[in-house]
Amino acid sequence: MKKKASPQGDRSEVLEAKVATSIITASHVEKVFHTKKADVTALKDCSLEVLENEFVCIVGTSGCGKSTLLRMLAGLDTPTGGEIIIKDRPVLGPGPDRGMVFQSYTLFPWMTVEQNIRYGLKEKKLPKEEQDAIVDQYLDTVRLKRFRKAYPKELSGGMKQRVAIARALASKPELLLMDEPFGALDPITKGQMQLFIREIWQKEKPTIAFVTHDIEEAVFLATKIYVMSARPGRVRMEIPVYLPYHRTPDLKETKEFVDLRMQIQELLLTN
Amino acid sequence: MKHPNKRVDATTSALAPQGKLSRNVYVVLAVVSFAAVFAVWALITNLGLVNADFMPTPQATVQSAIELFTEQHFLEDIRVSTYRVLMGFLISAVIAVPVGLLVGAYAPVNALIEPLMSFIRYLPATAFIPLFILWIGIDESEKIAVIIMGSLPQLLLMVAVDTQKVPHDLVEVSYTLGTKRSLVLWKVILPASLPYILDSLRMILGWAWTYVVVAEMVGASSGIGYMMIQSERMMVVGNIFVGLLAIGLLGLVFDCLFKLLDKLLFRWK
Repeated sequence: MKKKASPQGDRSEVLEAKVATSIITASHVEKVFHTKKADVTALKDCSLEVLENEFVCIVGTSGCGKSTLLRMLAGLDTPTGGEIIIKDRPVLGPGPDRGMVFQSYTLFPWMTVEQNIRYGLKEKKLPKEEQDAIVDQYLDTVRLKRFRKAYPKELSGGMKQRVAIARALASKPELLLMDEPFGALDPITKGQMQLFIREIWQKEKPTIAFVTHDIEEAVFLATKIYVMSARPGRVRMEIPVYLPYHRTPDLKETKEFVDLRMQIQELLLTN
Repeated sequence: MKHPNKRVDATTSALAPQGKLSRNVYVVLAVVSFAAVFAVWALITNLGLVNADFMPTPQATVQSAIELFTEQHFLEDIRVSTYRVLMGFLISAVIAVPVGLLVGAYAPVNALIEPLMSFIRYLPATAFIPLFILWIGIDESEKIAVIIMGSLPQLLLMVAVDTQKVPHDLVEVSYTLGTKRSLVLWKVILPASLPYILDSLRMILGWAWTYVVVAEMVGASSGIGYMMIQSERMMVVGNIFVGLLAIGLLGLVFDCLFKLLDKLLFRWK
């Protein structure tokens, strides 16, 4: 954390003051798409809560509406029913308080790595020195200092997503939304990225809502998992993850891990 | 397979669809095609296979060129034509690029302008020459108007399509980083679509050359097209060939300039 206090103060201080603030409160959220032929209910009666500093994963099969749910949290889609509250305020549209990392590579191709990370800071009109400091800090965090002048086309998929994460975190959002960010990566890179994002979370404690269809990924990363069912998409179950705080790849072989993975798999199969 | 490399070659070799060619071979082949056309031309004219009144030999064409440049101020014709093309092109670009961006980005603007332009686009610009002569006269502005008539609607629609090539994800991610809706066109869509727009401009400049020559064949007293139509009336076929070659070479030069600009501006591509 930088010395400069963000509006809500240093995260650890807040944690000391009160036990946990609710960042997302979604209650009975519904999304109906109107097509020419029929109305399609993508989501029905979805309720979930994400507390400050939590790493929440939302798992479900393809087409269960989990991405739609995340987009509504970001304000990129509007629910047709129910309510989404982010930190006491209803969502009225997208904003820099909710950073987002997409599955597709969304770096601005005409900007260097450094300029991409700086983008949100310039939008916030932070003083130049402060921008420099934050950019340096996040280049360091995502270990891409050597590539600060590189253009996105020169980066691998994993590196691109690291820049996208840095760019989202640099704006110090209250919430980081991630929509299958590692879905397009090869298994080895994907594993490295999972370790990497967990490490960042342990260090900085951003509040994260992470959508994935990869059960193993969800169990490995999350402090809490929401399992969704499909057609219409609903939140089926909330599962707290009681696994060791420091997570390493060999955790995936332990009985506790496998049991939890199987339990979720079972839930998804008996949709 | 004995030679695994062979299999790779089979799909990337120069002869496979979408295969690759080395730079040197590319240049050689390009030169060969020019040389072949030239050789055929030289052969059939020098052997007397065609009437020299209708097709000059390369030597006679060079002779015509020398006369045109030294005695008939052909350089002035080239200057005038280039001026008309560039003026028409610039005016079209100044209007079509911003409006095209708006048409591509905003649905109501699209509804207002896109169908109208699609209609106008199908009206041959050259068919407006009689009307423009009536309205404007036969001075420079009439020639430029013909070029604008041919270039602007096409360019506008092409720019609109270019802006729509920008992935929507880029726009959305800019919102989540604090970009205002009113500025996203300027901050995201324009820089992202600029390389496509430059390419559209390059295409349109080529078309502008077609329109200027036609415009200069009617009610004009200068320009490459004027020189050519005069030469036709006096049966000086060599001059017509010089005119054709001049337009071709000018087009090539402008094309190269655009490609150079693309390399300089868009290193990120």
